[in-house]
Amino acid sequence: MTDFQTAAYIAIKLILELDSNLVEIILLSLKVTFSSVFIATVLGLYVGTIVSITNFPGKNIIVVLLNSFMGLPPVVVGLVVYLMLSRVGPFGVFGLLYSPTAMIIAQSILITPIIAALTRQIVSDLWVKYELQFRSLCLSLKESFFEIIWDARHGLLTAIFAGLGRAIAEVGAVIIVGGNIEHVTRVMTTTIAMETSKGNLELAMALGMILLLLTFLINLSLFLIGNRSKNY
Amino acid sequence: MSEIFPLKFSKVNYQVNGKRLIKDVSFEILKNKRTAILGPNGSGKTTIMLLIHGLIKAKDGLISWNGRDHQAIKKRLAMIFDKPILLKRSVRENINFFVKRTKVQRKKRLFVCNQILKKFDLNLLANQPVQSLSAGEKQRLVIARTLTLNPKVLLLDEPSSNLDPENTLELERIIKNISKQGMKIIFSTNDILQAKRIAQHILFLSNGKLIESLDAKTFFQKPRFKKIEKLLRGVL
Repeated sequence: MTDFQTAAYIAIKLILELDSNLVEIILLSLKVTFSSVFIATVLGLYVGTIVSITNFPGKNIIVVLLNSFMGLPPVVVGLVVYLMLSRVGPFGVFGLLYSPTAMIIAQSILITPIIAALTRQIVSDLWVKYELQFRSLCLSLKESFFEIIWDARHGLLTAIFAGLGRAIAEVGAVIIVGGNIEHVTRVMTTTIAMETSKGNLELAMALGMILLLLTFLINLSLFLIGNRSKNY
Repeated sequence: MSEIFPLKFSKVNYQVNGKRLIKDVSFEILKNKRTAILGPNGSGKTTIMLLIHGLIKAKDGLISWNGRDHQAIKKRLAMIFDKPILLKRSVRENINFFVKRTKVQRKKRLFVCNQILKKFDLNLLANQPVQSLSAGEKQRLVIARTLTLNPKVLLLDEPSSNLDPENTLELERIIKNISKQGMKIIFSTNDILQAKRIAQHILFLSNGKLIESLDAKTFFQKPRFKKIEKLLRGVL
Protein backbone atom coordinates (compact mmCIF):
# COMPACT_ATOMS: atom_id res chain seq x y z
CA MET A 1 0.00 0.00 0.00
CA THR A 2 1.16 3.50 -0.73
CA ASP A 3 1.24 6.19 1.97
CA PHE A 4 -1.85 7.74 0.45
CA GLN A 5 -3.80 4.48 0.50
CA THR A 6 -2.73 3.76 4.09
CA ALA A 7 -3.71 7.24 5.18
CA ALA A 8 -7.09 7.00 3.43
CA TYR A 9 -7.72 3.57 4.99
CA ILE A 10 -6.95 4.80 8.53
CA ALA A 11 -8.96 8.00 7.91
CA ILE A 12 -12.06 6.03 6.95
CA LYS A 13 -11.52 3.76 9.99
CA LEU A 14 -11.35 6.83 12.25
CA ILE A 15 -14.61 8.15 10.81
CA LEU A 16 -16.43 4.83 11.08
CA GLU A 17 -15.22 4.22 14.63
CA LEU A 18 -16.28 7.75 15.61
CA ASP A 19 -12.83 8.43 17.06
CA SER A 20 -13.34 10.63 20.14
CA ASN A 21 -10.61 13.07 19.16
CA LEU A 22 -12.10 13.44 15.70
CA VAL A 23 -15.63 13.90 17.04
CA GLU A 24 -14.46 16.56 19.51
CA ILE A 25 -12.78 18.54 16.73
CA ILE A 26 -15.82 18.27 14.46
CA LEU A 27 -18.23 19.35 17.19
CA LEU A 28 -16.11 22.37 18.10
CA SER A 29 -15.84 23.30 14.42
CA LEU A 30 -19.60 23.13 14.04
CA LYS A 31 -20.15 25.10 17.23
CA VAL A 32 -17.80 27.90 16.13
CA THR A 33 -19.13 27.91 12.59
CA PHE A 34 -22.84 27.93 13.42
CA SER A 35 -22.41 30.49 16.21
CA SER A 36 -20.57 32.88 13.93
CA VAL A 37 -23.03 32.30 11.08
CA PHE A 38 -25.92 33.01 13.45
CA ILE A 39 -24.38 36.31 14.60
CA ALA A 40 -23.42 37.27 11.04
CA THR A 41 -26.93 36.40 9.80
CA VAL A 42 -28.65 38.64 12.34
CA LEU A 43 -26.28 41.53 11.67
CA GLY A 44 -25.95 40.96 7.93
CA LEU A 45 -29.67 40.66 7.24
CA TYR A 46 -30.36 43.75 9.31
CA VAL A 47 -27.66 45.93 7.75
CA GLY A 48 -28.20 44.67 4.20
CA THR A 49 -31.96 45.14 4.32
CA ILE A 50 -31.91 48.56 5.99
CA VAL A 51 -29.37 49.82 3.45
CA SER A 52 -31.61 48.52 0.65
CA ILE A 53 -34.93 49.95 1.76
CA THR A 54 -33.86 53.32 3.15
CA ASN A 55 -32.24 56.36 1.63
CA PHE A 56 -29.66 58.32 3.58
CA PRO A 57 -26.62 60.45 2.82
CA GLY A 58 -23.55 58.30 2.22
CA LYS A 59 -25.57 55.22 1.25
CA ASN A 60 -23.39 54.58 -1.81
CA ILE A 61 -20.25 54.66 0.33
CA ILE A 62 -21.76 52.08 2.69
CA VAL A 63 -22.57 49.87 -0.32
CA VAL A 64 -19.01 50.13 -1.64
CA LEU A 65 -17.61 49.37 1.83
CA LEU A 66 -19.87 46.33 2.24
CA ASN A 67 -18.82 44.98 -1.12
CA SER A 68 -15.15 45.62 -0.36
CA PHE A 69 -15.34 43.90 3.03
CA MET A 70 -16.61 40.74 1.35
CA GLY A 71 -13.02 40.01 0.50
CA LEU A 72 -11.44 40.79 3.87
CA PRO A 73 -8.16 38.85 4.22
CA PRO A 74 -8.70 36.35 7.08
CA VAL A 75 -5.19 36.76 8.48
CA VAL A 76 -5.66 40.53 8.71
CA VAL A 77 -8.97 40.05 10.53
CA GLY A 78 -7.26 37.50 12.77
CA LEU A 79 -4.47 39.95 13.53
CA VAL A 80 -6.86 42.83 14.32
CA VAL A 81 -9.03 40.63 16.58
CA TYR A 82 -5.83 39.31 18.21
CA LEU A 83 -4.70 42.87 18.98
CA MET A 84 -8.13 43.79 20.33
CA LEU A 85 -8.36 40.74 22.59
CA SER A 86 -4.71 40.49 23.66
CA ARG A 87 -3.89 41.44 27.20
CA VAL A 88 -2.79 44.95 26.19
CA GLY A 89 -5.72 45.44 23.79
CA PRO A 90 -8.94 47.31 24.59
CA PHE A 91 -10.86 44.09 25.26
CA GLY A 92 -7.97 42.22 26.91
CA VAL A 93 -9.68 42.44 30.26
CA PHE A 94 -12.25 39.84 29.17
CA GLY A 95 -9.56 37.22 28.67
CA LEU A 96 -11.06 35.90 25.45
CA LEU A 97 -7.92 35.29 23.42
CA TYR A 98 -7.27 31.63 22.58
CA SER A 99 -10.87 30.69 23.28
CA PRO A 100 -13.69 29.52 20.99
CA THR A 101 -15.37 32.88 21.65
CA ALA A 102 -12.42 34.68 20.04
CA MET A 103 -12.74 32.36 17.03
CA ILE A 104 -16.47 33.11 16.80
CA ILE A 105 -15.78 36.87 16.92
CA ALA A 106 -13.16 36.64 14.15
CA GLN A 107 -15.37 34.49 11.94
CA SER A 108 -18.38 36.74 12.51
CA ILE A 109 -16.33 39.73 11.36
CA LEU A 110 -15.33 37.83 8.24
CA ILE A 111 -18.79 36.58 7.33
CA THR A 112 -21.02 39.52 8.26
CA PRO A 113 -19.99 41.65 5.25
CA ILE A 114 -20.58 38.68 2.93
CA ILE A 115 -24.12 38.13 4.18
CA ALA A 116 -24.81 41.89 4.40
CA ALA A 117 -23.58 42.61 0.85
CA LEU A 118 -25.47 39.68 -0.67
CA THR A 119 -28.58 40.63 1.31
CA ARG A 120 -28.35 44.19 0.06
CA GLN A 121 -28.18 42.98 -3.53
CA ILE A 122 -31.04 40.51 -3.19
CA VAL A 123 -33.32 42.86 -1.23
CA SER A 124 -32.54 45.84 -3.50
CA ASP A 125 -33.66 43.88 -6.55
CA LEU A 126 -36.96 43.07 -4.84
CA TRP A 127 -37.36 46.55 -3.36
CA VAL A 128 -37.35 48.07 -6.85
CA LYS A 129 -40.51 46.05 -7.53
CA TYR A 130 -42.18 46.46 -4.14
CA GLU A 131 -41.34 50.01 -3.10
CA LEU A 132 -44.31 51.81 -4.65
CA GLN A 133 -46.76 49.18 -3.46
CA PHE A 134 -45.44 49.25 0.10
CA ARG A 135 -45.42 53.03 0.16
CA SER A 136 -48.93 53.19 -1.25
CA LEU A 137 -50.05 50.96 1.63
CA CYS A 138 -48.26 53.24 4.13
CA LEU A 139 -46.20 50.34 5.51
CA SER A 140 -43.86 51.32 8.33
CA LEU A 141 -40.13 50.66 8.06
CA LYS A 142 -40.49 47.73 10.45
CA GLU A 143 -43.32 46.19 8.41
CA SER A 144 -41.46 46.70 5.14
CA PHE A 145 -38.35 45.14 6.71
CA PHE A 146 -40.06 41.91 7.74
CA GLU A 147 -42.28 41.60 4.67
CA ILE A 148 -39.43 41.99 2.23
CA ILE A 149 -37.19 39.61 4.16
CA TRP A 150 -39.95 37.03 3.99
CA ASP A 151 -40.33 37.39 0.24
CA ALA A 152 -36.58 37.35 -0.30
CA ARG A 153 -36.13 34.33 1.96
CA HIS A 154 -34.93 31.91 -0.71
CA GLY A 155 -32.27 34.29 -1.96
CA LEU A 156 -31.30 35.20 1.59
CA LEU A 157 -30.82 31.55 2.48
CA THR A 158 -28.33 31.40 -0.38
CA ALA A 159 -26.50 34.36 1.19
CA ILE A 160 -26.46 32.65 4.58
CA PHE A 161 -25.17 29.42 3.07
CA ALA A 162 -22.46 31.38 1.26
CA GLY A 163 -21.40 32.68 4.68
CA LEU A 164 -21.58 29.17 6.10
CA GLY A 165 -19.36 27.84 3.33
CA ARG A 166 -16.80 30.55 4.01
CA ALA A 167 -16.93 30.00 7.79
CA ILE A 168 -16.52 26.26 7.77
CA ALA A 169 -13.47 26.41 5.51
CA GLU A 170 -11.82 29.32 7.35
CA VAL A 171 -8.36 28.75 8.79
CA GLY A 172 -6.27 31.95 8.78
CA ALA A 173 -8.14 34.01 11.36
CA VAL A 174 -9.11 31.19 13.72
CA ILE A 175 -5.58 29.87 13.99
CA ILE A 176 -4.32 33.33 15.02
CA VAL A 177 -7.00 34.07 17.64
CA GLY A 178 -7.67 30.45 18.67
CA GLY A 179 -4.10 29.22 18.79
CA ASN A 180 -5.08 25.67 17.79
CA ILE A 181 -4.94 24.43 21.38
CA GLU A 182 -5.82 20.75 21.79
CA HIS A 183 -9.20 20.12 23.43
CA VAL A 184 -9.82 23.89 23.56
CA THR A 185 -9.64 25.63 20.18
CA ARG A 186 -8.66 22.91 17.75
CA VAL A 187 -11.06 22.85 14.78
CA MET A 188 -11.09 20.89 11.54
CA THR A 189 -9.21 23.36 9.36
CA THR A 190 -6.50 24.19 11.89
CA THR A 191 -6.04 20.49 12.66
CA ILE A 192 -5.67 19.64 8.97
CA ALA A 193 -3.01 22.35 8.59
CA MET A 194 -1.12 21.22 11.69
CA GLU A 195 -1.33 17.46 11.17
CA THR A 196 -0.28 17.78 7.53
CA SER A 197 2.76 19.80 8.50
CA LYS A 198 3.61 17.11 11.06
CA GLY A 199 3.18 14.36 8.49
CA ASN A 200 0.20 12.74 10.32
CA LEU A 201 -1.95 12.39 7.26
CA GLU A 202 -4.60 10.01 8.66
CA LEU A 203 -6.41 12.48 10.92
CA ALA A 204 -5.91 15.30 8.40
CA MET A 205 -7.43 13.16 5.68
CA ALA A 206 -10.38 12.06 7.82
CA LEU A 207 -11.15 15.68 8.66
CA GLY A 208 -10.66 16.66 5.02
CA MET A 209 -13.24 14.08 3.96
CA ILE A 210 -15.74 15.38 6.48
CA LEU A 211 -15.04 18.96 5.45
CA LEU A 212 -15.64 18.04 1.82
CA LEU A 213 -18.84 16.25 2.78
CA LEU A 214 -20.08 19.29 4.67
CA THR A 215 -19.19 21.58 1.75
CA PHE A 216 -21.04 19.22 -0.55
CA LEU A 217 -24.09 19.27 1.72
CA ILE A 218 -24.04 23.08 1.81
CA ASN A 219 -23.93 23.23 -1.98
CA LEU A 220 -26.65 20.62 -2.27
CA SER A 221 -28.84 22.72 0.03
CA LEU A 222 -28.15 25.78 -2.12
CA PHE A 223 -29.14 23.87 -5.23
CA LEU A 224 -32.37 22.62 -3.64
CA ILE A 225 -33.25 26.10 -2.34
CA GLY A 226 -32.58 27.53 -5.81
CA ASN A 227 -34.92 24.97 -7.37
CA ARG A 228 -37.65 25.62 -4.82
CA SER A 229 -37.47 29.39 -5.24
CA LYS A 230 -38.10 29.03 -8.99
CA ASN A 231 -41.75 28.26 -8.14
CA TYR A 232 -42.13 31.78 -6.77
CA MET B 1 -66.41 60.31 7.42
CA SER B 2 -65.78 63.74 5.94
CA GLU B 3 -66.00 64.41 2.22
CA ILE B 4 -62.68 64.30 0.36
CA PHE B 5 -63.82 65.69 -3.01
CA PRO B 6 -63.30 67.83 -5.00
CA LEU B 7 -59.69 67.00 -5.73
CA LYS B 8 -57.98 70.15 -7.01
CA PHE B 9 -54.70 70.58 -8.86
CA SER B 10 -53.63 74.23 -9.02
CA LYS B 11 -50.71 75.10 -11.29
CA VAL B 12 -48.89 71.88 -10.44
CA ASN B 13 -45.41 71.36 -11.82
CA TYR B 14 -43.22 68.32 -11.47
CA GLN B 15 -39.71 67.84 -12.72
CA VAL B 16 -37.00 65.19 -12.52
CA ASN B 17 -33.35 66.04 -13.17
CA GLY B 18 -34.34 69.37 -14.67
CA LYS B 19 -36.85 67.83 -17.07
CA ARG B 20 -40.39 69.13 -16.59
CA LEU B 21 -42.76 66.20 -16.74
CA ILE B 22 -45.83 68.11 -15.61
CA LYS B 23 -46.32 71.73 -16.66
CA ASP B 24 -48.69 74.08 -14.86
CA VAL B 25 -51.49 71.57 -14.63
CA SER B 26 -54.75 72.70 -13.04
CA PHE B 27 -57.98 70.73 -12.87
CA GLU B 28 -60.75 69.64 -10.58
CA ILE B 29 -62.08 66.12 -10.11
CA LEU B 30 -65.51 65.57 -8.64
CA LYS B 31 -66.74 62.56 -6.74
CA ASN B 32 -69.44 61.05 -8.85
CA LYS B 33 -67.87 60.49 -12.21
CA ARG B 34 -65.35 57.92 -13.42
CA THR B 35 -62.36 59.96 -14.51
CA ALA B 36 -59.96 58.96 -17.26
CA ILE B 37 -56.57 60.54 -17.61
CA LEU B 38 -56.07 60.14 -21.32
CA GLY B 39 -53.01 60.82 -23.40
CA PRO B 40 -50.29 59.28 -25.53
CA ASN B 41 -47.22 57.57 -24.06
CA GLY B 42 -44.96 60.01 -22.25
CA SER B 43 -47.69 62.58 -21.76
CA GLY B 44 -47.43 62.46 -17.96
CA LYS B 45 -50.38 60.22 -17.07
CA THR B 46 -48.51 58.03 -14.59
CA THR B 47 -46.87 61.07 -13.02
CA ILE B 48 -50.30 62.64 -12.49
CA MET B 49 -51.55 59.38 -10.92
CA LEU B 50 -48.56 59.27 -8.56
CA LEU B 51 -49.10 62.93 -7.67
CA ILE B 52 -52.77 62.25 -6.95
CA HIS B 53 -51.85 59.39 -4.66
CA GLY B 54 -49.09 61.39 -3.01
CA LEU B 55 -46.36 58.88 -3.85
CA ILE B 56 -44.43 61.77 -5.37
CA LYS B 57 -44.62 65.40 -4.29
CA ALA B 58 -44.99 68.40 -6.55
CA LYS B 59 -42.46 71.14 -5.92
CA ASP B 60 -44.70 73.89 -7.33
CA GLY B 61 -48.44 74.21 -7.17
CA LEU B 62 -51.07 72.89 -4.85
CA ILE B 63 -52.89 69.58 -4.67
CA SER B 64 -55.80 69.53 -2.28
CA TRP B 65 -58.60 67.19 -1.33
CA ASN B 66 -61.59 69.31 -0.37
CA GLY B 67 -59.15 71.88 0.93
CA ARG B 68 -56.95 69.39 2.80
CA ASP B 69 -53.57 67.98 1.87
CA HIS B 70 -52.76 64.39 1.00
CA GLN B 71 -51.74 63.36 4.52
CA ALA B 72 -55.31 63.67 5.75
CA ILE B 73 -56.78 61.25 3.23
CA LYS B 74 -53.92 58.93 2.22
CA LYS B 75 -55.43 55.87 3.90
CA ARG B 76 -58.58 56.30 1.80
CA LEU B 77 -56.69 55.96 -1.48
CA ALA B 78 -55.54 52.80 -3.18
CA MET B 79 -53.53 52.46 -6.33
CA ILE B 80 -53.08 49.72 -8.88
CA PHE B 81 -49.91 50.11 -10.90
CA ASP B 82 -49.49 49.50 -14.62
CA LYS B 83 -47.41 46.37 -14.05
CA PRO B 84 -49.05 44.19 -11.39
CA ILE B 85 -46.89 44.26 -8.26
CA LEU B 86 -47.42 40.84 -6.78
CA LEU B 87 -45.69 39.46 -3.73
CA LYS B 88 -43.68 36.29 -4.27
CA ARG B 89 -46.29 34.25 -2.44
CA SER B 90 -49.47 32.33 -3.16
CA VAL B 91 -52.70 33.96 -4.33
CA ARG B 92 -54.23 33.57 -0.86
CA GLU B 93 -51.16 35.04 0.85
CA ASN B 94 -51.26 38.02 -1.51
CA ILE B 95 -54.83 38.73 -0.50
CA ASN B 96 -54.09 38.11 3.15
CA PHE B 97 -51.22 40.62 2.99
CA PHE B 98 -53.76 43.30 2.12
CA VAL B 99 -56.40 42.06 4.58
CA LYS B 100 -53.78 42.46 7.32
CA ARG B 101 -53.64 46.19 6.50
CA THR B 102 -57.34 46.59 7.25
CA LYS B 103 -59.15 46.67 10.57
CA VAL B 104 -60.45 43.13 10.10
CA GLN B 105 -59.85 41.09 13.26
CA ARG B 106 -57.23 38.37 13.06
CA LYS B 107 -59.73 35.51 13.44
CA LYS B 108 -61.97 36.89 10.68
CA ARG B 109 -59.17 37.31 8.14
CA LEU B 110 -59.48 33.81 6.75
CA PHE B 111 -63.21 34.31 6.20
CA VAL B 112 -62.65 37.66 4.43
CA CYS B 113 -59.90 36.10 2.34
CA ASN B 114 -62.14 33.24 1.25
CA GLN B 115 -64.95 35.66 0.41
CA ILE B 116 -62.67 37.69 -1.86
CA LEU B 117 -61.29 34.58 -3.52
CA LYS B 118 -64.80 33.42 -4.29
CA LYS B 119 -66.07 36.81 -5.42
CA PHE B 120 -63.27 37.17 -7.95
CA ASP B 121 -63.36 33.56 -9.02
CA LEU B 122 -59.88 32.88 -7.68
CA ASN B 123 -60.70 30.11 -5.19
CA LEU B 124 -59.34 27.33 -7.39
CA LEU B 125 -56.06 29.22 -7.65
CA ALA B 126 -55.85 30.11 -3.95
CA ASN B 127 -52.74 28.09 -3.17
CA GLN B 128 -50.97 28.63 -6.48
CA PRO B 129 -47.83 30.77 -6.56
CA VAL B 130 -48.66 34.01 -8.37
CA GLN B 131 -46.01 33.34 -10.99
CA SER B 132 -48.19 30.58 -12.43
CA LEU B 133 -51.13 32.93 -13.11
CA SER B 134 -52.03 34.35 -16.50
CA ALA B 135 -51.90 38.12 -17.06
CA GLY B 136 -55.68 38.36 -16.70
CA GLU B 137 -55.69 36.35 -13.46
CA LYS B 138 -52.86 38.47 -12.08
CA GLN B 139 -54.78 41.68 -12.79
CA ARG B 140 -57.92 40.18 -11.23
CA LEU B 141 -55.92 39.27 -8.13
CA VAL B 142 -54.42 42.77 -7.93
CA ILE B 143 -57.89 44.32 -8.04
CA ALA B 144 -59.33 41.75 -5.61
CA ARG B 145 -56.70 42.32 -2.94
CA THR B 146 -56.82 46.11 -3.38
CA LEU B 147 -60.57 46.13 -2.82
CA THR B 148 -60.10 44.46 0.58
CA LEU B 149 -58.78 47.86 1.68
CA ASN B 150 -62.21 49.33 0.90
CA PRO B 151 -60.73 52.58 -0.41
CA LYS B 152 -62.82 55.64 -1.20
CA VAL B 153 -60.76 56.31 -4.31
CA LEU B 154 -59.25 53.68 -6.58
CA LEU B 155 -56.47 54.80 -8.90
CA LEU B 156 -55.69 52.49 -11.81
CA ASP B 157 -52.63 53.25 -13.88
CA GLU B 158 -53.11 51.80 -17.38
CA PRO B 159 -54.92 48.80 -15.93
CA SER B 160 -55.28 46.92 -19.20
CA SER B 161 -51.80 47.50 -20.60
CA ASN B 162 -50.89 43.81 -20.22
CA LEU B 163 -54.25 42.33 -21.10
CA ASP B 164 -55.78 40.82 -24.22
CA PRO B 165 -59.12 42.22 -25.50
CA GLU B 166 -61.21 39.63 -23.66
CA ASN B 167 -59.55 40.28 -20.31
CA THR B 168 -59.68 44.02 -20.98
CA LEU B 169 -63.47 43.90 -21.33
CA GLU B 170 -63.71 41.76 -18.18
CA LEU B 171 -61.60 44.32 -16.32
CA GLU B 172 -63.79 47.16 -17.58
CA ARG B 173 -66.87 45.32 -16.35
CA ILE B 174 -65.27 45.00 -12.90
CA ILE B 175 -64.33 48.70 -12.88
CA LYS B 176 -67.88 49.73 -13.75
CA ASN B 177 -69.29 47.47 -11.01
CA ILE B 178 -66.93 48.90 -8.41
CA SER B 179 -67.86 52.39 -9.50
CA LYS B 180 -71.58 51.62 -9.15
CA GLN B 181 -70.95 50.62 -5.55
CA GLY B 182 -69.81 54.18 -4.81
CA MET B 183 -66.05 53.98 -5.16
CA LYS B 184 -64.44 56.84 -7.05
CA ILE B 185 -62.46 55.56 -10.03
CA ILE B 186 -59.59 57.47 -11.59
CA PHE B 187 -57.74 55.60 -14.30
CA SER B 188 -55.13 56.42 -16.88
CA THR B 189 -55.12 55.05 -20.38
CA ASN B 190 -53.78 55.71 -23.84
CA ASP B 191 -56.65 53.77 -25.37
CA ILE B 192 -59.22 56.31 -26.49
CA LEU B 193 -61.87 53.63 -27.05
CA GLN B 194 -61.43 52.38 -23.52
CA ALA B 195 -61.85 55.92 -22.23
CA LYS B 196 -65.01 56.20 -24.29
CA ARG B 197 -66.35 52.91 -22.89
CA ILE B 198 -65.73 53.64 -19.22
CA ALA B 199 -65.05 57.29 -18.49
CA GLN B 200 -67.56 59.95 -17.57
CA HIS B 201 -64.96 62.67 -17.22
CA ILE B 202 -61.81 63.07 -19.30
CA LEU B 203 -58.54 64.79 -18.56
CA PHE B 204 -56.54 64.91 -21.78
CA LEU B 205 -52.78 65.33 -21.44
CA SER B 206 -50.09 65.95 -23.98
CA ASN B 207 -46.39 66.55 -23.27
CA GLY B 208 -47.07 67.11 -19.58
CA LYS B 209 -49.72 69.76 -20.25
CA LEU B 210 -53.42 69.48 -19.63
CA ILE B 211 -55.14 70.06 -22.95
CA GLU B 212 -58.71 69.38 -21.92
CA SER B 213 -60.83 68.63 -18.86
CA LEU B 214 -64.38 67.85 -19.91
CA ASP B 215 -67.20 65.46 -19.30
CA ALA B 216 -66.81 62.47 -21.58
CA LYS B 217 -69.91 63.10 -23.68
CA THR B 218 -68.81 66.59 -24.70
CA PHE B 219 -65.23 65.49 -25.12
CA PHE B 220 -66.11 62.84 -27.66
CA GLN B 221 -68.94 64.73 -29.43
CA LYS B 222 -67.48 68.22 -29.64
CA PRO B 223 -63.71 68.13 -29.35
CA ARG B 224 -62.40 71.67 -28.95
CA PHE B 225 -58.84 71.13 -30.06
CA LYS B 226 -57.58 69.96 -33.43
CA LYS B 227 -55.23 67.49 -31.80
CA ILE B 228 -58.10 65.69 -30.09
CA GLU B 229 -60.30 65.86 -33.17
CA LYS B 230 -57.53 64.32 -35.25
CA LEU B 231 -57.05 61.58 -32.72
CA LEU B 232 -60.75 60.85 -32.62
CA ARG B 233 -61.09 60.89 -36.39
CA GLY B 234 -58.26 58.45 -36.70
CA VAL B 235 -59.92 56.01 -34.34
CA LEU B 236 -63.66 56.45 -34.79
